[in-house]
Amino acid sequence: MTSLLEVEDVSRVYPNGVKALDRVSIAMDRGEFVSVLGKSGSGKSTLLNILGGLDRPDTGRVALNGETIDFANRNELVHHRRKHVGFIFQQFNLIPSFTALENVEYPLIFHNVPRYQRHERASGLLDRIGLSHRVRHYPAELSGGEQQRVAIARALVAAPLIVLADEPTGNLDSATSSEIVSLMREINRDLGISFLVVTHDRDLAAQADRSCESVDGRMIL
Amino acid sequence: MTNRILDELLLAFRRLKTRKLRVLLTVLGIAIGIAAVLGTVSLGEGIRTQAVETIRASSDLTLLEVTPREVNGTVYLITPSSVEYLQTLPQVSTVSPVLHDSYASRSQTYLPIIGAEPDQISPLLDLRLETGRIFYSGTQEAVLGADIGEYLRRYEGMQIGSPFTVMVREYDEQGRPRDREITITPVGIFSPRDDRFDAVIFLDTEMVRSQKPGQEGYDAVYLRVDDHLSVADVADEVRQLGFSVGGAFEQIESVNRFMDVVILVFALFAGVSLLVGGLMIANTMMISVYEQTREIGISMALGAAEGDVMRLVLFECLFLGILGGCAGIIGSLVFSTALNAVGRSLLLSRMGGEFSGLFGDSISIITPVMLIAGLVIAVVLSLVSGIYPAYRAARLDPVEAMKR
Repeated sequence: MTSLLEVEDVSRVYPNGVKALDRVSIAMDRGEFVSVLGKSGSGKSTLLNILGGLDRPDTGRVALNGETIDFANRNELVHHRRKHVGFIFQQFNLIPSFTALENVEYPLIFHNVPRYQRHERASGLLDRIGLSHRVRHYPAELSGGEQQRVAIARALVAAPLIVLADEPTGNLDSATSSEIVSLMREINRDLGISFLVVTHDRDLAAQADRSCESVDGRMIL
Repeated sequence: MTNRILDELLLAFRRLKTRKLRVLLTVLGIAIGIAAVLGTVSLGEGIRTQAVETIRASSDLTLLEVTPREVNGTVYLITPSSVEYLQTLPQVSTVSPVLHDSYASRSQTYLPIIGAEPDQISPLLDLRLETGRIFYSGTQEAVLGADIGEYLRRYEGMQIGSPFTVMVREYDEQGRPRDREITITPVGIFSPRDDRFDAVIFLDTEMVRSQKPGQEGYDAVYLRVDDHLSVADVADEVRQLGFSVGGAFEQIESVNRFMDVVILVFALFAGVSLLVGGLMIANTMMISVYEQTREIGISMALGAAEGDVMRLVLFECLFLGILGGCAGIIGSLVFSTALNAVGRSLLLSRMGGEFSGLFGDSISIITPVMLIAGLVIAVVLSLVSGIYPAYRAARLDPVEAMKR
């Protein structure tokens, strides 16, 4: 069986000369929860952006489900972002003018899903993560932990193959952080969705199936 | 329409609702442009209609005169068969082929002559007898137009029912004029028509033809068109046949041509304000895109394609255009109504009562077509103004955009 994600010798140098990734190789199996530990500026975010199709590597190969991603093909990248990955950000990145429910529904608009189906899916997910009483609230009316839960629901709504989480607990206190980590593990276990979590939080990394460390653009398993 | 497009329309609408003041100002900008253009055009159309009505009221508009035309040295003669063909044109009610000539009286009074069939010409020209009767075919009888009849009776002793000598001017081989006397018998005088036919003497066709050796076909055909709206169409058809055509409608055509230019020039000036409106939309949308950079980046990360982003911006422009167009239409209706209510009495008080007929109903005319055109212009303008902001939005780098 092919692995879910293969990253081979991926390098990325920014125009200002900063070497964000230096011949990084990672492989992930379906259903795995992997963490990448590293200080800020160690190229973790760049890796996630490349895996999510928001950035492109200078060299190397990325394959998802055995299919190599063609980073030169804009349509393919859009398709990849839409169908294969879900993003969770440190800053939550919810749309301020949307309610919790609308934020979770939002990606499905680009999937051409009709309104009532979107409602159904999004409400179901919000129910599951324990926010059914907050669906009509706007992000500004939610606590940090609640906002991150909404963002997790949003990452899951289009049934991705893999969730890419960039410092998901970076803006949360330790109690809330562990709630969020437990929630992600629970989803990983129950729904079989793979997680690649980038963090500098050793407690979070310790909860992963596997953890690797990133130092100056190199990944150390 | 797919769900996605519908949802994007709703999203664009929602975004506009969050910035009501800015939307209001932008919409006002477009509306003023549209109202200015519609206002000038409606004023121009009003003046055009007044001018045309004035011509229509004072002239015989549905009468056309068809004459032969020389094209590249070939003269298209009016033959009996072309007369028959003209009679079959759908909007033509009656025709009367005529011969033109001119005689002189013994006192050298110029006498324009029309040779026609009595039963055709008098109903066609709506000629009513003041005195006497109509002439008979195959005779030398004549009926005179009101002015010429009055003149000859008063100054040259002509009497109804008595022979009257006129002179036909001919030229000999050396080109010298030589007058030949013939006798006609005036049998009636027509009522005044207040046009050139009042100076004409009407005779029988064959009588006139016998005085014009070598004459082939007819000099002209008079056409009576069913209604004034078809006149231009009939005139075009006749021109297609290779004939020239004239009549009072030509005045209207030249008024129309003149007003077309005037309205176009005025509308171009007013169009400058439309241009300003377009720039306002572009500016508003650039700011809007700038402010939403982060949301656009997030949307892209969540799977929005470049097309989705462009549509979101352009749909906002679409709504701005529709709102601006509708507001502009309302503005132009208010302007037009105000002009008709206040402007008309103001103009009349300046120009005096004798001009009251000139501005019969209104000096500003707005048609449904103009209103629809106003809306279409507003929408197209908004979309065009939004293209560059939409393009900018679509080409944002999602990673950079989300850092904002």
